[in-house]
Amino acid sequence: MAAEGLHIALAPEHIADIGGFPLTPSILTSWITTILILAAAFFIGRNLKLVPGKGQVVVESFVAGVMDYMKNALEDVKLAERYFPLIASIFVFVLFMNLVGFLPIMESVGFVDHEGHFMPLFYPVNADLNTPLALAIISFLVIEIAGIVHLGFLKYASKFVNFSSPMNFFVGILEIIGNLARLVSLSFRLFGNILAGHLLIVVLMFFAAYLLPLPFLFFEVFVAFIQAAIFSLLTLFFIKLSVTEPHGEEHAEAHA
Amino acid sequence: MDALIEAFGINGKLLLAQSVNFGLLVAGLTFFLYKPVLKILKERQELIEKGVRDAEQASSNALEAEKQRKEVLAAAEREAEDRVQKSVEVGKEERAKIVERAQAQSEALLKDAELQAAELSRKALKESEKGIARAAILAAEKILSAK
Repeated sequence: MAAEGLHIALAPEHIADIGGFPLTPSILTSWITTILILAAAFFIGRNLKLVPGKGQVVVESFVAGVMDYMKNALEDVKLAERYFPLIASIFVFVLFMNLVGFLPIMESVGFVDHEGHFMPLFYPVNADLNTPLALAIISFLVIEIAGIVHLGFLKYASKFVNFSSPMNFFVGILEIIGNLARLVSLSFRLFGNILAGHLLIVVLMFFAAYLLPLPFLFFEVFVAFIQAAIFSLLTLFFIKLSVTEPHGEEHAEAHA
Repeated sequence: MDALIEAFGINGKLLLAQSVNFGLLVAGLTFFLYKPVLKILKERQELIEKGVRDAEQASSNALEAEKQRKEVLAAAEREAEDRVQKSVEVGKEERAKIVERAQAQSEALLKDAELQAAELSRKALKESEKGIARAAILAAEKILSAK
């Protein structure tokens, strides 16, 4: 397909419309990857032993490490246990979707449709804004719900709508903008990094298919890891911010 | 905004599908991986805690046993000493008693002997008196017959 030159698009192509559902290469890739992750998780989880093998040590260190880190960050064992599945899964999801994006089948395995146009079946999942945005929306909802559940609706709302002083009022407005901006920052950070990495590799392969892309591939594997860590860590920290008592309350209690 | 959504190919159905996908992943990972792993981590921690506790218990048991052994030994030694002391005392007492009894006996014997001696001497005296009387009679008879 190199004869067609570089094919760069922000929006995903649609393989087919199935009953009104737009099947895209990225969602197909993400489904297959999800199934593979779950299968791996199933087999690892079923073969756990009290005396661990090497593979189990890796999985255990990941689980125990994330759990310990969350206990430290949230300063609450119960909260850490409640949000552990989300944070750990964000990391696993983003990391494996990113790593799968480096497989050579991306944008190369496909079919030629009836218009003579090549249609790939696989595409790096996070280079399609739909995935990072869906994750960011989930993350946003969890963060806000965590605040409401932990502090109660009125107290949590007082972080955003507060007439106790002009200062607090403006802080509240900034808080609203800040929270909404997370939707954009979380999703576009991941999307931008992965798309840029993907395009960089594509462009380099266009110039020199051998050797030249290799160091960049290593770097992109690093980016894949970092982006997975950033997304999950930021969600964790936002949850921590969200379940923390509003500042005004602290002062009021301190003065009382 | 519409242009932005168009440019990035954002689609509500895709967002929903991807959210459901992620939700399934969270549920599956929680069920298949996190819970079993956390469970086994906890089990291992409990096992190690139990091991450490057992070891502490064993060492404290050993210490306790050693202490008990020493106590028993000391008690036995004390008792032995006591017994020896007591038997020495008993021996002394016994000896004193025996000596006393022997003294009493010897005194009694002595008294007896004295009494007997006195009796004997009294008897002898009597005998001799009798003899002297007979001798005197005989002498008198002799003198009388000679005349």
